[in-house]
Amino acid sequence: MRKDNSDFSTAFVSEAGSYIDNRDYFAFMETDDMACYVLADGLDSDQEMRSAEMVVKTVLENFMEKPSMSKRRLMRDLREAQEWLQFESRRVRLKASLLMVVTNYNKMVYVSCGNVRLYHFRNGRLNFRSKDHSLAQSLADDGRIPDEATSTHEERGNLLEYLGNPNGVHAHYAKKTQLADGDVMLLATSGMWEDVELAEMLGALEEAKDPGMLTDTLEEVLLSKQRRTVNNYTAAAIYVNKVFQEKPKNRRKLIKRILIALLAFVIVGGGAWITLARMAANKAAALETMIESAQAADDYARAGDYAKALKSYSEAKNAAVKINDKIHKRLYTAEQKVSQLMVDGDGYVEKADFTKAEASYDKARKSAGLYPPFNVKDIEHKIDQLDSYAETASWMKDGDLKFQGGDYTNALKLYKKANKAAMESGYTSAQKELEKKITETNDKLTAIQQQLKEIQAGKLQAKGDRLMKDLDYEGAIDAYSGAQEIYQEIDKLESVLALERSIAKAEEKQSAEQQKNGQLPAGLGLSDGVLNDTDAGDAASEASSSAAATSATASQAKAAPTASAGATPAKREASPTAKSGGTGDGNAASTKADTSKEQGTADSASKAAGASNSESQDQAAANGK
Amino acid sequence: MQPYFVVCGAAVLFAVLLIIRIRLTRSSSSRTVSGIEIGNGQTIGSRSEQDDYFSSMTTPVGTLAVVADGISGLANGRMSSTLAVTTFTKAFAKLEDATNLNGYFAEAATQSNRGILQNLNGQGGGTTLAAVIVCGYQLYYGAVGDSLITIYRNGHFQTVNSKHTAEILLEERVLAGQMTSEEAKTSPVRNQLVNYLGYEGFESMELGNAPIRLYSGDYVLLCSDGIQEALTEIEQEEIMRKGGTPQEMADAMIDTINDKGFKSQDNATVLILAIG
Repeated sequence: MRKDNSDFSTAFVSEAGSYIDNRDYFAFMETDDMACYVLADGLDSDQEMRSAEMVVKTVLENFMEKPSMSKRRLMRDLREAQEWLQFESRRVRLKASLLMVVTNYNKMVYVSCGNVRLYHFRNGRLNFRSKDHSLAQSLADDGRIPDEATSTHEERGNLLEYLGNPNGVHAHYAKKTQLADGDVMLLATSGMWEDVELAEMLGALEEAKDPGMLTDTLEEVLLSKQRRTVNNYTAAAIYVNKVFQEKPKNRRKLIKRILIALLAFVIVGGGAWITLARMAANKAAALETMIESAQAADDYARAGDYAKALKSYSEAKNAAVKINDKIHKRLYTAEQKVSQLMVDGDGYVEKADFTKAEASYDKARKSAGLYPPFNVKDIEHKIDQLDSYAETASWMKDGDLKFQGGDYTNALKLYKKANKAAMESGYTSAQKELEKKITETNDKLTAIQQQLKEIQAGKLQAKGDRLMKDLDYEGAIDAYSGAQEIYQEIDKLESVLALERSIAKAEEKQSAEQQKNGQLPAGLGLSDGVLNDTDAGDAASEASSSAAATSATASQAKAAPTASAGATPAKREASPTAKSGGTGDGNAASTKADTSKEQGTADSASKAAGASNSESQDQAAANGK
Repeated sequence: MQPYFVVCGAAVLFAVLLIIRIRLTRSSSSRTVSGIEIGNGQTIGSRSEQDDYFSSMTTPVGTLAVVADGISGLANGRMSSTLAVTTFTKAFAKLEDATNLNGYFAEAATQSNRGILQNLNGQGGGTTLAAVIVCGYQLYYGAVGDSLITIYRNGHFQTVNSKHTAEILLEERVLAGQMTSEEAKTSPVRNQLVNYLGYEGFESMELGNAPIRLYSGDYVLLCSDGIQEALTEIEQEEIMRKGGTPQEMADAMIDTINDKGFKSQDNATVLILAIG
């Protein structure tokens, strides 16, 4: 209850002067927490509408709805009053000056529009006075006339602002002023302040003990001037006998609040600062990255490594986007494009699409002139080389065709030719491919050779096996050794080992045989040979009686020229099958041998012929010689 | 050689003098143009004759504008307004400086009053009169009767003179306690003129104590009561706000009155002075 704990008293006098109508209007309202005093001066001469009354009532009604000292609120009230006046201005433009004082019994604010004045007295002296919205006041503000002259200057009634102004309302709101016990506020319309000077007001104030006395004295002073025409006049005095004392603020609470506010500020401000610092650091890093990437990209572009240049330009561009550097972004984008074109061109070259490569290079060449890192001559050189590349590529293609057709030797030749051309023209990508192809072709050839050798070795091994079965250990060892040699050559060590075992076995058997034969007469062998010489067919039938004799004969038949006569029919016999394959031939021979074991030497001779194949035929012939 | 020099010198001198003369005439004429622009408009209304009369003139002293509204119909009204306006303009033409313009107003008013009374010869008649002199940026005025002088500034009107009607007397009677304010407001003689030219009891016209300061962009309007009755302040404001030359504004006012076509439309006259 602020009102009960303060003491404000109000009195006013308002008269029409020498006119019939009093167009001034004063009203006030004191609520428990706030009080509002409003004085208005009607400026128009409408016979029916009372503009001052209208605005005062509007303002007070609004105040009553929601008492407030805020500027926004009070201005809104004023605007409403203005709108009301404008709405009612049908015949005559309704106008009014208005002064509104609002207090919470401790502090006061006021809003003024026009030339109704507020005088605030403290300790018998003028504390402040509200300013008029008149031309005289603006002249005084400019220092062209003294401030005291505003009450008498001819332009005092020339108002620049007032309620009802078709150009809108522009009121002055004065901020809160602390009231003190004994303060006096005087609200006066121009009818009063034009004729009662400030000194007279102060004189009246000195004598007056209460507001009623003050206003009466002021009226007396005004009327004592005995003007021929006396305007409407109003004076309202408010005596602030006791100001509402605000509860002393809790210091600790205040400090606590300040500390909390400071803490919040430090947290928010610190956060913001850190964020800003990070942003700045990120920006600096991005800038550095941009410069470094651009430098690297330029170096790569100069060196002709467009793929790397493309990557670096892309990085530089991204960094430029990050720091919002539009100029560099545009530059790097363009350079990136050129690099991209070059990389695309290289890609087409790799794919051997030389038309597209040329188009791409050509585009790059056109743009490259604008950007110094790119070497136009290098690009032109690339374009020039495309023809030789195309030739190389066509050779390679031919080579591929040959390769597919199994013509490895010619394919190799073409590949080598293309490789040479690629090396000369610096067609590195093709060169690599060609080297790979050459290796592949060589491998193919080597594999074929190896297979051949394997077959040879297989044949020899089979021959060895057959000879073993025929108990021709010597021959078997020879055949095995030959096969082993071949296997050794082609690094088939397992087969080498297996053959080693076979040889060992053969040697073992041979030595066992020799031991056995050691008891036989050496001449038997000779007689056998003679027998062979005379009639191979008969000898074969006879030889079946003794296996040892047969082996001896076979070894002799190899050495003796006569054996060739005996071998020939066997050879003839084996020849039809020998054509179809060495191994089969060998087997067939062996089966033959199995079926007619009794034939002895003739069979062994045919076995030797079968195993030796065409080569061994030559050998046999040589041996025969 | 010598005569050629003389001839050339004379030619140069002639040219220089000619240029100076052109400049001088141009500046003086432009001063008039940029100084004050005047527009006027008049309508007879629904009356049988035009009793309003107006005139404006510019002399080295300043610009005079006069509007007079003749009373009592027939030839007396027209005679009175014409005589008053003519007297004012003739006296103004004779004026040599602006030192005593209020004296000029008083003198011309007295002279007009005398002349009208002589011509009326005991018959009824007379005229209201509103006169202004714009001298630089100062406005001097004299008015008698109910013709109004207003200033249009920053979008609104300021009334310069007061109407000399019975309202003043009624107010005095109210203040003296002889009648109530309600009676005064409803009195039938409320709009009756109490002071005009051609009135035997005429003493003086209303004069400004001090000249009113004018500003560039201001408009000074002199209106006979035919205008004030037909057009509201708001309507006048709207016409003025639309802008244009003073003549266009005056024409717009008269057109609006004619459009309204009131049955008892009084003669209406408006003079608009635009202050450059």
